Amino acid sequence: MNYSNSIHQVGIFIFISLIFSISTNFFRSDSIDYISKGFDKVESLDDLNLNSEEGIKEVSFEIAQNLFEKETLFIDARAKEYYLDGHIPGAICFDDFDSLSNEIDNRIQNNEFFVVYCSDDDCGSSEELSYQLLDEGFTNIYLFKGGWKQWTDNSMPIQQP
Amino acid sequence: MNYLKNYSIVILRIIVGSIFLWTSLTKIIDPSKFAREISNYHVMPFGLENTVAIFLPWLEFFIGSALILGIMVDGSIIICSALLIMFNLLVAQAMIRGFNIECGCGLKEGQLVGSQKLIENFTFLGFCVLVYFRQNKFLEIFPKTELSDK
Repeated sequence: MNYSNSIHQVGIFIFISLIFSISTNFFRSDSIDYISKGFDKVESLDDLNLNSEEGIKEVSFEIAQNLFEKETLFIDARAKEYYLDGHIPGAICFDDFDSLSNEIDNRIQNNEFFVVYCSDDDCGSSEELSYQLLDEGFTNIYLFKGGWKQWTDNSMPIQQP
Repeated sequence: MNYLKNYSIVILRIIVGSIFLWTSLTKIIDPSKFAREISNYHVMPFGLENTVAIFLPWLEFFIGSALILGIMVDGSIIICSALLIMFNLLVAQAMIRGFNIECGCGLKEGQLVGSQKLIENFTFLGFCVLVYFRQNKFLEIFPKTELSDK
């Protein structure tokens, strides 16, 4: 091994990093799978069961629409300025996570579920917020990935100030 | 004058190294969060964001440490440059596709993709180029070369 050769050095760094990353992921308590599995999907209305496995589940537009009709709590994960421009009727939005968490606590009972959405499939903030809420102890979270875009594309009711 | 130049290069090397080392730590602590941030870019096929989230922070950790300590500087600066170019391509494609997502850079919590991030990365890339084309291997502890004794 020629340690002065830059390409060899690159190889050494990659090799050491591989060894460390594999071993730490093996031994740590919060290790993750090498291949991401994504979220469980709620395929039909029958799957909407309070006693089903807890965690974050993805819902389609049709399911989100049904949940809206059942007056389920919607959480808007977008920035406040977008929320104020228009949102799903009854949805709540807080820039401060603790305030949001308290508000959800006040509004839901007995581990009831709620729906989190953001702009569209690409925004990512609904997923991030869902994980934060899961860490906070909320266990029945539905993620509506189609979000605000799919909601308005389907001419669903909106609330504006 | 040469003395000043040598020290400037060392300072640039330590700046780039510290940034990579610092950003690696938050990613090492919470790989699942980093995986979600990678996933938001929508470029990774077959759920491979987890593999990247496991491996990449450690690579950043080692090259960052090596740059600070002056170990295998050429190899680490090549990797730094490649990573910075890759990060900029990712940020640019996210901007073009209109994604309003967190960059997942680990530098500032909640920093979004945008031109500021591109400028930051290009600045660090400039530092990397200066370090790579340094004339003297000053204050580098491994591998020792004739130049390093000058």
